[in-house]
Amino acid sequence: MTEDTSPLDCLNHLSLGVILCDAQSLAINFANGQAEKWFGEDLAGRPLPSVLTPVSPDDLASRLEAGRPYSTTGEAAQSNGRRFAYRLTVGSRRYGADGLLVVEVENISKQKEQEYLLESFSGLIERKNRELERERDRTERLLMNIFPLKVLQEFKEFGTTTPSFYDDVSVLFLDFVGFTRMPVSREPKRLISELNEIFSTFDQIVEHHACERIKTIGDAYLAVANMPSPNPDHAIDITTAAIKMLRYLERRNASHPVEWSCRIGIHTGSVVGSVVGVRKYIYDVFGDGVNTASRMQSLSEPMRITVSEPTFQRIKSAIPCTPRGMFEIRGADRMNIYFVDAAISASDPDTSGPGSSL
Amino acid sequence: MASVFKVQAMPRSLYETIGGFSVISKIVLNFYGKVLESDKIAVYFTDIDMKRLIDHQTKFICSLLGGPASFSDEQLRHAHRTVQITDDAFNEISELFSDALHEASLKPTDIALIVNAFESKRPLIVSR
Repeated sequence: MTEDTSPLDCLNHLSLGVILCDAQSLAINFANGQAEKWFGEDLAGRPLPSVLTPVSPDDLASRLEAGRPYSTTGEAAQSNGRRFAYRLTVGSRRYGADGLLVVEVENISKQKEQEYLLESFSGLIERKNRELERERDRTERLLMNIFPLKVLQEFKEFGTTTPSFYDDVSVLFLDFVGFTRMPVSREPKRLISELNEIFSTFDQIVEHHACERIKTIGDAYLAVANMPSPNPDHAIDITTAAIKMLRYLERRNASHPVEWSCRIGIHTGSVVGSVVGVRKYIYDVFGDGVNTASRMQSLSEPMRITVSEPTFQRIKSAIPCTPRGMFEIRGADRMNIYFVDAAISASDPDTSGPGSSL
Repeated sequence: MASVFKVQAMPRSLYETIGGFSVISKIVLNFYGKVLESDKIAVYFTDIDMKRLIDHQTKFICSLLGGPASFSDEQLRHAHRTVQITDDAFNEISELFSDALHEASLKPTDIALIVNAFESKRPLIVSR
């Protein structure tokens, strides 16, 4: 059969590739012009899978057995070097006495290009999203260090926070004694690392007792209870936390070359809490409650806790205290103040929670 | 207090101003077609599968325009180290790329910016 007489000539001008092959041997009998352009000339006689490599003879046979068409996709380089993507479909019908299969090949490059582009791009976006998520987690963790959770939630929900007045807050002030004279002052790195370790432990103790660390100022440590989240046992809780801080320091001093000694003062009074700052935000507390707590700290003694009258009234049923008499607090104000008897309360089963192992 | 927390708006990248992904996709596919049609440079791409080439071009174009991808100079150099790309080939690619940008109806000033950015990568891509 010569080309000019073949009725198959009409297939040569299709944009579709057409290949006819033997149903048993899969040997190619005919390939139209488009198929030769794509896969090369002289295809006749070659087995179909050697030309269209994605074809699996077993899959093809089982599909045809079931009376279903077979289809698969692949990629090839044309004779001019340009790669293209194709889909081939083998119809389930056999033609002629020998059983001839018709293989249709269509160019799906455009579709594949878009698929690959989308795949590539969505990969970029997903990666970007993961990076953003990690960044958001980092930012949130940072913010949680700066803002109490309740303030952070308010900020996230409303994009702003408002200063709040709290009339019954227990405030703890802690300061290290002779900090500047400590031998580690000559080794600032070690000093900061030790202070960091101690403050981190204080943070855990404070959190365990439903109190809130507000800030550290140099070697001073400020914590509150009953704000911004309510805690009805605020005075007892913050005093218990103070006792645990002292106990932690005592234990630490017994096994470390450098001794850390602190004074603690506690007062219960009114406080305003607010986010302050323009570029560098901090959640801070202000007011009589804070000033008096600071005064209690300065009136305290090394490794002792001093509490004001209002705090004493709230803790006296639970934590033994020793009166220290009337002291001048500010200007003309005078007040009874007390030492917390930390040694006695150490046996209090109530204070032996998980935090006490610190 | 509210103003305290306003986050300053980030300057928009070229990627955003030209229209984001919908425009990028047109540029990438058009550029990809042009590169493969060009007799001068198609030879560089015969053995590279479509997926890899498109992936590479998407990332490269996105990163050139400040989109969600970033190719470091070192990555670019590494990707082209085994291919002997000549200045002629690079010029051809640069022209095709510029054509693709024009055909996506970008503003001439934006095109000049992008083509300049592309040009700055020449030493990383052309073999010396």
